[in-house]
Amino acid sequence: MILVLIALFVIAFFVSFVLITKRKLRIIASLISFVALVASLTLLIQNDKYHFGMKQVSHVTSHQIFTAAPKTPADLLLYQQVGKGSEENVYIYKKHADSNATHTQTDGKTINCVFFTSAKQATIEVTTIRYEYKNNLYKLFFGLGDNETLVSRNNTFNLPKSWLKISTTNAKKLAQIQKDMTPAQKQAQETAAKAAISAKVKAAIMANPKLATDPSAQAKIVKQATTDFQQKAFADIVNKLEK
Amino acid sequence: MEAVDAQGKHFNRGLLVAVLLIGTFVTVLNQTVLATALPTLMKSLDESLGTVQWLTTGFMLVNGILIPISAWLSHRYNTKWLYLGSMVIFLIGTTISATAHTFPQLLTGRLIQAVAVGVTMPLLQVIMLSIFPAEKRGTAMGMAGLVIGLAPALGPTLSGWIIDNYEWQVLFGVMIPIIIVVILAGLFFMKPVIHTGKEPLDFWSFIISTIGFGSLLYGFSEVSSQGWGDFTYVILPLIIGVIFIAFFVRRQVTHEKPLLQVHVFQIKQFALTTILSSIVLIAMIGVELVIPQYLQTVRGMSPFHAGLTLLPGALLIGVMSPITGRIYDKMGAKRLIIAGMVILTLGTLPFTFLTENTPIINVIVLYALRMFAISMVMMPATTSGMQALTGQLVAHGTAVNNTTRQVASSMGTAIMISVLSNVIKNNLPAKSLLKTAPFEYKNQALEAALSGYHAAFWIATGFAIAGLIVALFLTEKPKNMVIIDGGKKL
Repeated sequence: MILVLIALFVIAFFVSFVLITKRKLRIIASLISFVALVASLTLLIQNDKYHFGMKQVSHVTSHQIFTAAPKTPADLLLYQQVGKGSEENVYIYKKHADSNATHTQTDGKTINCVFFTSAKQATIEVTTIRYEYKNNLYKLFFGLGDNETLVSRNNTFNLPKSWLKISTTNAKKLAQIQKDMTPAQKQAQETAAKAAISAKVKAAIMANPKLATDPSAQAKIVKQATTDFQQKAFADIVNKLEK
Repeated sequence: MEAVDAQGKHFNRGLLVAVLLIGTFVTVLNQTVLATALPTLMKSLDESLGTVQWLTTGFMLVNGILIPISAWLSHRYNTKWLYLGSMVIFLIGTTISATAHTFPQLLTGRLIQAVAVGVTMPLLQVIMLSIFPAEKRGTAMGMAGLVIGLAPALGPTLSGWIIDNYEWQVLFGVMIPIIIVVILAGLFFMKPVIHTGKEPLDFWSFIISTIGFGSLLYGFSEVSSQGWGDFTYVILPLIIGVIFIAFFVRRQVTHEKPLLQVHVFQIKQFALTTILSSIVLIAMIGVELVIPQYLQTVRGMSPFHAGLTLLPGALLIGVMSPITGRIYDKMGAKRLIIAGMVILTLGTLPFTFLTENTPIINVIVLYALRMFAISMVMMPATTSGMQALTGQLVAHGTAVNNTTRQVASSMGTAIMISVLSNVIKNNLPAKSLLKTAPFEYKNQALEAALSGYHAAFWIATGFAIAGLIVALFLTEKPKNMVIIDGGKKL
């Protein structure tokens, strides 16, 4: 609308200043169209540069996320370190369990926070602040050139305590460490695992002697203990790398 | 009124004008047709940017050297054969370029093309002024403006489109059939409309002018890559250029049969309008150069899309030029030019507030607004300057006017580009930030780029205001309107 007005006022100024031969009429018409032109250009600049007719509106959305590395014993929130501090880290995750990995925005307007909570599901809460038109009149007036721009974005990751945070460089190291394990080390780990598991089973039977005669319940405990052990061993390595 | 050529024969003016406009349009297109093609050429020819730039710099230099002698050429040689000769030279240059696979061959082709363009562009104006009566000159020059304003503005868009879809050789290939048609049609419809005589060429003037304008234009063209402080490539050529041009002017003033009658500058109306059309050209070319850069670097557009954004403005100058020419014939130049300069100033100011999010449609509309303003000034100013000249002086006036504009536009381009790059450089964040916080660096670098563009557009606004002030000194209607009758000595 404002652009249409500008075009009309330019033509009006041109016609009145150049083509009108009567001096008095020319001066009056030129002055009016000139002032109108300057005013509408000023409004255009005000809208573009100083967001005249716009207001900041924040939108919050939240949805579940999934680990980008599903084959590891614990769920991982991967991040790529950018720059020296942690402020510009880019986090990598999946929006759906079976979708491709996605990452947080790299537009320089995004801030990311990670919290470990007691929640059962991992979620991301996105708060965006955008400029929007104050009302439909302003939208009609300035809406031809869409000026609803992003001011800032805040991504908050709320992760269950079972999740781990690891940088992409460390994730590579981790894979390497697991690959490089010597047979002796693997043997040692397995022995340690067996010891820990049987200790757990024994402790469980001590606490509840009925279990001694229930193989299926025992198997459950063994399974639980195995995952626990693996997760802890994995978490230990990750935490060591992340230090 | 029927049109009569220099030999007193009747001819069809409409067909002559058509042949003239189409042919010159194709030649002038070549001034800017490589602007967006350089990166592709670098890759295809496996040469550095500095080398490839010679395809445009060399072209501009040869072009600039030829313009001062175009006045002599147009009074020495039969118009028909001069024009057709230029078109044949152009055809040769274009064919060499279109079949080129190596840099030397392409450069050769471009330089041959440039010889032709240096002749056709001023010749177009002299012919248009010669075959129309004084009261229709505005309309005639408006048609010439359609070529001179539209063709250079269309060049980058056209080349962007061709480069995206075809081999770069096609850029030149598509011109060949058009040139052949123009040459064939010219054999029938082109007429010797300008009076000629066996005037000797002042050889020394030619040499001095070539060195003078050549090195001055070269010096300006190197500013964008070397900066104003560079001695060997900028300061030295500029000094040599100024000294030789001073010699040239002195020789023209004292010589009995000068190559270029520079004393036309003593006529106030001519001097004022030449300054005006130069300023407008700076405002046009400078911004034509800077906006695509903004669109590409800040907004991430492809060269072709950047060119498309400027297309409506370019087309508008083509549509408006004949109309403002007509208005000029009725109302005179002064009010037209003042109104144009006011609109140009108002249309440039918003660009000094550009943001990273400015809606593209704003850029399109404001750019079109500027082009509208430029169409009100460029050709009417030139025409109004020519009204003060009689007989042979028309060709000399045209050559002087074109030479001045050529120098002014290369100077203006140098100023705009150097201000742009200096302001950006001075505002860039410290390099160390790139390592510690690259996103923050990106944000600050974007701010730096924007401040550079703002500075460049302030310069453009300054030129527009300067032009407005000059326009106020124009006379309402030049008194000595003389029928020129093909440049016959009166």
